[in-house]
Order: sequence, then structure tokens, then C-alpha cells
Amino acid sequence: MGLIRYLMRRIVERLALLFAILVFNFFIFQVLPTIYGINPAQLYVPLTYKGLPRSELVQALDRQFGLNLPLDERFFIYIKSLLTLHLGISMSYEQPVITLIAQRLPVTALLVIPSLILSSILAIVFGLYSISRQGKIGDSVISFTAIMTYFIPAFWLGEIVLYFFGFYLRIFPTNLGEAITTYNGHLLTGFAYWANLMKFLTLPILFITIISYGVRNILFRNNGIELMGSNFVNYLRARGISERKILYKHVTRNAVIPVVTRVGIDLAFLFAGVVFIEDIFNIPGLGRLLVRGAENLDVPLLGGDFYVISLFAVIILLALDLIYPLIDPRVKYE
Amino acid sequence: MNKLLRDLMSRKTFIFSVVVIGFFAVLAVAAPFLTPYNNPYRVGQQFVAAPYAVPAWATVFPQYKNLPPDVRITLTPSLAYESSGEVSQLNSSTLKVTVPPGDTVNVTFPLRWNWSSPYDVRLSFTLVTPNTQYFQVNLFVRDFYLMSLSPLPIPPEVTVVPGKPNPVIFSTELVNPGNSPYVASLPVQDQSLASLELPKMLLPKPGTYNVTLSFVNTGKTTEMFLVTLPGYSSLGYAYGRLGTDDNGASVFSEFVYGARFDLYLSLVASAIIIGIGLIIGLLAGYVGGFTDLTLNAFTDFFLLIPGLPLLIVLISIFDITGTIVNVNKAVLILLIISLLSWPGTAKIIRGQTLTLRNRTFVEAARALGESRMRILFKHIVPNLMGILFAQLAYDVPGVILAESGLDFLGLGITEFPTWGNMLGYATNNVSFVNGFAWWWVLPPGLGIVFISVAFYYFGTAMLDVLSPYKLRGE
Amino acid sequence: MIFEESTDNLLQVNSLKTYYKTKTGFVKAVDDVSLFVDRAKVLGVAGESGCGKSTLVTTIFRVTPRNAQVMSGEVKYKGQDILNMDLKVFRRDIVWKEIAYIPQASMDVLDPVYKIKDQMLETILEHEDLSKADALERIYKALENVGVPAEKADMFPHELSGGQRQRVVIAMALLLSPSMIVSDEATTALDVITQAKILELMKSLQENRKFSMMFVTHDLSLLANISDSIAIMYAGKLVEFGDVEKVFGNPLHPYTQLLLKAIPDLRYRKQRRLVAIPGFPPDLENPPKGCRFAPRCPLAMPICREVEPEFSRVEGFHYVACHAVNKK
Ligand SMILES: Nc1ncnc2c1ncn2[C@@H]1O[C@H](COP(=O)(O)OP(=O)(O)O)[C@@H](O)[C@H]1O
Ligand SMILES: [Mg+2]
Repeated sequence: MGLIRYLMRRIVERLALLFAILVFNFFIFQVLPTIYGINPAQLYVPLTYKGLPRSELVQALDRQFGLNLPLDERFFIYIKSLLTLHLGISMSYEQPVITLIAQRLPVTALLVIPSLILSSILAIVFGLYSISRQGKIGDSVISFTAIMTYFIPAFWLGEIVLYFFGFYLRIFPTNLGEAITTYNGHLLTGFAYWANLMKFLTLPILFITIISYGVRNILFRNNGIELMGSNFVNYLRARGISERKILYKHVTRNAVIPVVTRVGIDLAFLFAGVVFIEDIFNIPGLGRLLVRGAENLDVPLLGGDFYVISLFAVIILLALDLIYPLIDPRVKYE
Repeated sequence: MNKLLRDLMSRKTFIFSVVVIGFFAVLAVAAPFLTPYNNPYRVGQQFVAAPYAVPAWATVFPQYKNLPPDVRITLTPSLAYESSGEVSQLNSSTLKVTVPPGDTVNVTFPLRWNWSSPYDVRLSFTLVTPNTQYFQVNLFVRDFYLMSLSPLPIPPEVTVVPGKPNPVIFSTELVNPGNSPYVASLPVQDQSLASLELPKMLLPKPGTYNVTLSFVNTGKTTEMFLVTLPGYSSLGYAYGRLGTDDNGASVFSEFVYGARFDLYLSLVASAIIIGIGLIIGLLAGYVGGFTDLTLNAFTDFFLLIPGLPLLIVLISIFDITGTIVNVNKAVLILLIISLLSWPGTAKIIRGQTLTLRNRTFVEAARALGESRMRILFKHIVPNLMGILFAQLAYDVPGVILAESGLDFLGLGITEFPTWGNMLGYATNNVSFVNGFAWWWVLPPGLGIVFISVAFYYFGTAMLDVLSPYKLRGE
Repeated sequence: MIFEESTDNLLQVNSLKTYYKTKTGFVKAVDDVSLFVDRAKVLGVAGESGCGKSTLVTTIFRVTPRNAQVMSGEVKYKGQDILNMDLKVFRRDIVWKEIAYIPQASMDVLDPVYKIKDQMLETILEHEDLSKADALERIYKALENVGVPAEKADMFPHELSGGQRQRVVIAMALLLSPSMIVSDEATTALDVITQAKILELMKSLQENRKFSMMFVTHDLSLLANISDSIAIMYAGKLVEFGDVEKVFGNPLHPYTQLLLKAIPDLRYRKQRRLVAIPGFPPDLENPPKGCRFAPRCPLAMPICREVEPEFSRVEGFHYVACHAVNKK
């Protein structure tokens, strides 16, 4: 069967991709330092770390992670530790990397998923408007705005929005800590906790919505407009099918396919895409963790975070492959 | 050709893109002629005006109306001295002051001030004192006893060498209890704030203020002082085309040199991206088979690893391993961005090559026994030109955004201005106090948006016009 | 233009001009074309690719691309002016119930994401109040009539072969038993054998059901057996129009003559060398002055480059637009 073969192929491809990513990680975090004659364990101890004597730490790390073994032996140890999610200990946070990631993953998800849904809906609604009014002023305005939002640097507009709504108008809380604790410093509980958390997240969510809306809108619109002039739409018109039905049933259904692909890819890179936004809005998510890792040159944290982000991408892409035939019946045979 | 041009010119978006790109290109190329400051991040090029000075033209807005520009004038004594014998004009720039024994002569220089207080106040003159030990020269502005010059200094007095020309500089920035009688007279807790507060006290609002030099002769003989006309200068709160940043450096210079760097980097990076993309895409699309499979997998891999996190990781690792010491950071960033950005381009070129390969004219060429290379370079590459041009244009915004992002996070270039690090520094300093520093925050961001949109439209127009095989109808 | 030869006229096109507006001017794709189709008769329309055949067809169905503009002329179906009719009424009452359309069944002629069955169902239900079961019944029958097994109805368009797809499109046209069918390059993308089968199918369907047909193709050779009359188009103009015997037996326009010579004659075992017409069709945005064929015409006279030849009757049902012919 075409379908089974397609799925098998995709699974094999994605597994190969995962393997490639593992190798890539090994290269960056193990081989590269070796090339430059640096013991990776040295990197694992931040320069600023004040605890045990440095050399003792390095030796302990060497023993624990086998970092002084030859590269080929290290390769297997490294791959095994990644696959079993033993990602080491962050020296700047003094916590296991996996714990840090587990804490931050839900925050990022809470940030990204609502905006993902919201911006997709917006993109389609405005896209439909654009398609039905192709070339008119409304269409031009929508398309131009969409292209603008696509190219607006998130970090720039983010700061402006944060400053304006958060600090100037004071509509939204700007500090997570303050938002979810009572004025005397206790963590809020139950409904109040979630309500305040969402209130804090509203601004970044709206912001991500606007930032990510553009691409999807352009994709949907351009696709829809191309479809409106396509053979099958012409044939539908020739058969007397009403314009409404053509637009809402046939064109929408077809034009949404690339948008779904795009949303899937966005979902896959969920944690990669919001680095700036988390940094700006001070949200303790995975992206911010990465930036902190980079600022403190915290190698285990960088490696672990990057690996989890890639791993998540591979998993989502695979899931996307699996549901894709449902959305586009043509793929089975490609 | 003519028709092509007419087609292009009939597109509003194309005109827009040409105008915008042209504007920034001129800025970039003419940067050395537009501004004397080629790297405002260097200490020597800072403080060309007060920090957070607004653009000069912004003074048309009511809230900035009275902000002073940079001022540099030579003061002239008030006309009252014309008749007296004690003060006379030695030459156009020097006054001769004759002071009888035990007497004091005051020379007043009116300063016409049309604005609110400046950032600092600086007065300078050269003084030739009599060759005795018995004199003192005091500097007042309004009633503030700012400076006292004497041959035998007891702080807060300042030394001058008798009988010689002494360059004297008073600057509100440098005052302290040891060099200014006024500061020394303040309560201790206020002394450190004096340099901030003084300009406001000396020149609080528009008006005419007196700068007075008072020559005191405590000796037994009549003595003569020579003094040049004092130069007044101050840094203002309204400066240039785009004001200043937190270090008083010219934002316009930063913007112009940022544009220069960003355009340069993005064009070079795009060229590299196109180069890699073209080679991989052509090989995959034209050779096909196993080569295609391998290259495609390779491309997919690069396409699917998360770019920005990887960029952050790589830059950090290079930082740690010390690669950066040996390689220029700009070059490193250029290479990394290029190496991470080619897959999209490669995919598009591959797709296009695939369709071209099966076109009749290529098949005909093949049937005629033309060599592969010849077919590739005579028939396929020329037909890819539209796509290549478009892709070149499309890649520019991507590179600018990626590079700016790194700079913004402080992981990229920090030593000289780029739009990215301008944004980073600017947004770090945004606050109520400086009123959002819009003249600093907005230009680089708008620059990025406009140049990106312009390149995007440029690419789209190129694609539309140059694609030779866009078929219409049947 | 009134054709005296039209006895039982179903569709009539009068001096139709359809231009495409481009950034640089107008593409004169259909320029002053007049023709008619009689009841239960077949009109073949031929001409090189790009001469405006599809533009003519899409104008009739009012599905031209957005930049097309009908500059003047009229299309009458059973005496009603269908170009100026309210579009909703036209789509409800005329399209598919009266005139149906068979396009070239290219890969993307059907919506790729819906099953054949659903697309046919949608077409029926748009025009008729029918229960779903009855409609399905009719769909299966229609498919069998054109030689497609009923179970293919559950497939997606891309799962069919080119020939099957073409048959499905033919079945689609017959769903509401129209009085007239317009087919545009219905056999073009197919291999020779399938092409012959489809042509045979269409011919037998036409003979059994007695609908009128306008059969549009760039391949003049297909028309000999199937048509009653022939119209030849060149660069947006109708150059010759007449009874099939007259046009094939006594082609008058030099373009028609060259087209006929270009047909490989199967009666000769040794394939004659293909006679291609030298030169290229003109740019329809700036067509040459005078006769549009003059630059390629072996018989061109000075007047041909100056004055546009009139489209006029020669004798009987045979019209031609050529100075050389008209002078005689
Ligand atoms: N949307 C359009 N815009 C401009 N020109 C077009 C458009 N569609 C078709 N044409 C031009 O109109 C002419 C006639 O096209 P068409 O009717 O499709 O020819 P045919 O069906 O005979 O091959 C061609 O020269 C074609 O390039
Ligand atoms: Mg056609």
C-alpha cells in the first residue's frame, strides 16, 4: 500500500534526522573543543563558579562523564546519555539541566500554543477577506501589513509594546514574580494563580500572535489567489457552483494545506521561535533558559536545551508526517 | 528590455523598493561624507552632545521647544568699560586690565541665553598675570563663585603661574570641592551632585546672565593683567539629525554606519547563500538519483535544526573555545549565518532545476548530444536568473534579522554600530527619564523593517518579470 | 453577422471581442469572431495554440480570467443574450442544464481534496432538487456510460489515470443531460490510443443523445470525422468557417491550406515530411496591421499588410477572410 510505504519512509527519515542531530551535538560539544585542545570538562565549569577547587571539579566531571576517554568511546557514552536524557548539571543554576527544562517547558507551551491558534484563525479570516477582494484596497492594506509584521524584528517591537502597554499605560503586569505572588510575597494558588498568570501572559501572547500572523496570512492569501485562477476553480465556476461555495469550501480547504504545514513547522520549532520574546518579556521559558546559558557560557545547559529543542522538533515533524495524509490526500503517492 | 522596464515601473511596490534601497545604499556609501564620526562607540567620539539629546528638528514640538543646542561662543565685555581707563582692548581678542594696588576690578561679560539649561557649562580663557605673588582672579557666573585663581593655592583655589600665560578652563563636569569655592561651600552630601546641578543653577532659563572675572590686586604697585575673551561652550539637549544615545554619541552616525555594515554583511551573506544554494540545488536537481537523495537529506537536516538556538550555541561555543580570538567576529557571524541559511534557497533552486530539466528545449539539447556542462550553463542556469535574483533579494532580510538578533542579545558585534546592537543598547536604556528615546529606538527598527520589505518587494518583482517560463493560459 | 445557413440555431456568437488587459496594453485574444452551432450538430474549432480558442470558450461560460474584458459583441443561446444575463440566473439556469463544458482533464482540473463522487454530487445538487441517493444512482450510471467502473467514484482525482479522468469529466458534463456541450482540448493530453477511444466515445454519445457540440482543438485532423462544420482561428481572428466538406475539400485560406498539409496523412505508409508553417504567430498585444497572417503567408500581397480582409461568404456555407480569395 502506498500509504504504509509512505509512513515507513517518513519514520525512517525522521529517525535518521534524529541520529544526525545527535551526531551534530556530539560534534559541537565534544569534538570542537577537542580540536581546540580544550578538555570539555573545563567548559563545564563556569569561570565564575565559586565552590570546590576548579581542578577537583574538572577531575570529577571527567570521571563522571568519561570526558577524558578517546573520542570514539566518548561518542557512545554521549549518545547514550542524550537518549536517556541525562543532560548533566547546569553550573550556573546548580541544578540538573533536565529539571530546569521540565520546569520551563510548560511555561513556553502556555505562551506559544494559544498564540499559534489565534494567529492561524486571524490569518485565515483576513486571508479570506483578501481573496474575496483581490486587488482592492482592503486586500492591499491587509497584505502590506502582513508583510510588515513578517519583517518586524520581534525583539524591537516587543520592547516597544512592553514599554508602552506594560510600563506606560500599565495595562498588563510586567513582572512574572509580582504577577503570581500576593503583595506579601506568597505564591498565589488555584484560580487566582492561573488568572494572574494568564493576565501576565496576555501581552506576549498577543504579541506573538501578531508577529507570527503575517507569514500564515501571506501563505494563505497567495495560495488562495492562485487557486482562484486555477483550472479546477474555473471548472467549478463553469459548472455553476456558487462563488461562496467555491471560496469557503474548495479554495479554503486547499489553501489551508500549506498553512497547516507552516503551523506544523512553527509548532516543531515552538521553543526555538520565542527566544527573543521570552527574553524581552521576562518569561522563564526554554528560550530564555538558552539565552541565560549563553550569557553564562553554561555548556551543559546550552547543550541540553538545544538537544531538547531539536528532539521536540523531530517528534512534532514526525507527528505532522503521520497526520498529513489526512489533510492532503495527494501525499501518499509522492 | 524596454518592455521589461516598463513592466517593472508600473509596479508601485517595485518603485517603493527601489526608492528605499536606493536611499539606504546612498547612506551606506556616503557615510564618511555624512558624518565625521565613523565609530561612535569609541570613547573619543562620544559626548558630542548631552546624553539622550533629541534631534535638533524635534525642537519644533512644544515639549522640546526650549532645549539648547551645542553652543560655542566667545563672550565680549559689556560696553560700560569703553570709557574707563582700567580695562582696554589690547587687540581683537585680548583685554588689558590695569588694577591699582589694593583694588579690585570686575570685568563683566553678558551671556545671552535663549534656552533651558544645557548639559554642562564650560568657560575657557588664557590669563597672563603680573609677575608678583599678590593677586587673585575670581570667576563668577551670576552670583556663583565658581573659581578662584591664585599663585599660592589653598584649595579650593587653583594655581596659576605668575607672569606667564595660563590656560584656564572651568567646566561644570569637573568641579569638586578642591577646585571650586562654590562647591566647597555646599553641605558635604550635596557636593557630589554639584556637577549635575550647576548648569541648571547657572543658566536656569532664557535670559541674560553675567559672567564676571574679578581681578584682585593685593600688592603695593599697580599691576596689569592680560586676559583673552572667554570662550563659552556647552553641550546641548538637541543635537543633529537623530539626537544622541546614552553616551552622547551621535545616533545619526550610528545609524548611517549601521546601515553600511548591515547592507554590506547581508549582501555578502546572501551572495554566499546563493552560491551554496546554487551548487547544491543544481547538483541535486540536475544530476538526480542518489546524489539528489543525499543532498536532499543533507539540506533537510540543515533546514530542520532550529536555527536561532543553534546560532546562539555556536557563538557561545566559539566564544569559549577561543576561536573568536583568532577570527574577526563579524566574519564568524557572516559565515555561521550563511552556513545556516542556504537550505531554503537550495530547495527552491533544486525544484526549479527539476522542472527545467524536463522542459522540451533541454530535452532537445540533450537529444542533439550537447554535453551536460553545456546544457547546464547554456540552458539551465540562464533560466534560473530570475529565481536567483529574487532569492538574493529574499535572503537579505533574513540575514539582517538574524544578525540583528544576535547583536541584540549581546552575542554578536558590540564594538561598532550595527542596527542590531543599536536596538539592543537602545532598548536596554529605554525608560521614562529619557522619554523612551524614540529617536534612538525607532530608526534602527524602522530601518530593518523598511529595508526588509523593500528587498522582499524587489525580489517579488524580479521573480515576476524575469521568470521566462511563466505560462499564461493554455 | 447573420448566417443564412443556420437552420436551427442553438448558440450564436456575434462579432465577439474579448481582450486581456495587461500592464502594457490589451491582448486581443478574440477579435471580432462570429459563428453559430445548430441543434444536434457539431462545430469543430481549430487553430494553433494561443490563437484564442480557450478565450472564446471561457467567454461563453463567463469564466474568463480576471483581466479579461468583453469589449463588444454578443453570445446568444436559444436567442437569449447570455453575456448580459444576471450571472446568478445564468449559472443556475443555463450552465450545465443547457450547456455543459468538457475541459482538458489535466492533473488539476478537479479539486484534489474531494472524492470524484462528492464533486459530481455537488454539481447535481447545485442545479436540481434531488435526494442524495438518487443523485448517486445517476452518478454511477453516468460513470458506467462513459466506461468508468462505478467504484472509481470513491477515489480522489489523482488516483485516476489520464484517460479515466477525461472520462469522468465527460460524465460530469452529461449529468444534467444538456442540449449542448463545449469541449476544449478534451483529448489533447492523452496518448494516441486513448485519444482515439475518447473521441470515439464522444462521437457515439453525441449521436445517441443528439446534443450539439462545439469541439475545440489545436489538432485539425481530429475534426474530419466528428464535425458538421469547421471554424479556423488564427491570432484571435476567425479566418475560415464553413461546412466540413467545403473546408476540408476546398480550403481557401492559405492558413487552412498549410494546416491541412501539416497533417500527417496516414494513408501513405511512408510518413511524409511534416510541413511546419514557418514563422511564429504574432504578438496579440501588437498584432500586425492588415491581415494578421500576412507575415507568414506565402501568397501575401501588398494590400494584405495594409487592409484587414473582410470576412465574407464565398459560396454556400463557406466563409473566408482573405484578400487573395475575395479578389477572385
Ligand atoms: N489571463 C491572461 N492575460 C493575458 N493574456 C492572456 C491571458 N490568458 C491568455 N492570454 C493570451 O491570450 C491568447 C489566447 O489564449 P488562449 O485563448 O488560451 O489560446 P488557445 O486556447 O487557443 O491556446 C494567448 O496569446 C495568451 O497568451
Ligand atoms: Mg486552449
